[in-house]
Amino acid sequence: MSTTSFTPTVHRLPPEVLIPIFALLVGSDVPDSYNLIPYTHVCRRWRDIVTACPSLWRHVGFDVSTRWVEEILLRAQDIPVSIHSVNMLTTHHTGLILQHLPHTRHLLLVDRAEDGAGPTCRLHKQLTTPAPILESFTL
Amino acid sequence: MPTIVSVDDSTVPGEGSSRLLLLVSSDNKHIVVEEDIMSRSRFISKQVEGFEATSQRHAILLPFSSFVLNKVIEYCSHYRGYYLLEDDPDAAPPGRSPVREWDQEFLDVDRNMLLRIIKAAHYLEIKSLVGSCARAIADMIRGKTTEEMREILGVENDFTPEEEHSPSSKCTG
Repeated sequence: MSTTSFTPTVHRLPPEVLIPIFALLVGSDVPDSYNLIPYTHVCRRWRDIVTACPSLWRHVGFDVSTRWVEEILLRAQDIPVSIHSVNMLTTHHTGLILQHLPHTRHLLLVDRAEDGAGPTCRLHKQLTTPAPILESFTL
Repeated sequence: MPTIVSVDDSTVPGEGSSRLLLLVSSDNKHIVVEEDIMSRSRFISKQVEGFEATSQRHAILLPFSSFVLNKVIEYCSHYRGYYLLEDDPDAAPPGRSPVREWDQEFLDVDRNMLLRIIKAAHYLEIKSLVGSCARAIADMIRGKTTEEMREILGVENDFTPEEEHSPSSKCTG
């Protein structure tokens, strides 16, 4: 066996060891899968492992660009997700929330519109999509 | 798969309340340890079950050095007799439990040693140790730039220039 094979590198750690590390980097107070993006820029293997693991993408924050919201929802596939937003939602955002409501477990929305007539409050009235696994909804 | 060799009775002394196991490291060091201490390792437990089925004693050959093995034994000795939730087969993935102070000091080692320990813990199926190592590694790279992470963990940038500058790979927020 060559000496090189004894050199420990993160590259040789199997995915089942690396994934718990990345899971910790999602964040603890307000977990947000968007926080993982920098780690996908380190090397190809990290990118492949992180992007192919749906459970790492289950914390969907709507306070980033729509492109990234859509990308994170895509990576989460159909696993149960937690959606949170503390900013004003666009109509496109509310459409995405309704589309993914069937696999949403937690939904936390904050609407700063003082008259209670912002898109987030309007979304409340549109919530007719089945939400079979929804455990909490905070508005 | 581990290599298992038969050993003489004299090699593994004792038939007491806690039996003794013979662990052989990759640098061919023979380490005798009480079975109770290593019961936290699912891998070792399964090996022992196999011994009982055949009524034969064996040495367990492990693919890491005695230096690393002794470190793992130190961890298992410290928590001997303790119930750690993470080691429960039905527990959540490793790394979710609160940080234990002793673990932080135990894992205050250089990067190479930390990576060797987590590899050994994974091989031995000690979820609590994998989790503690995962937390230590996460703490090392959290909030660092891409370049800093590569330097800290010795990761090579293997992206092509095109991939690095591809808009689809960039965090454009």
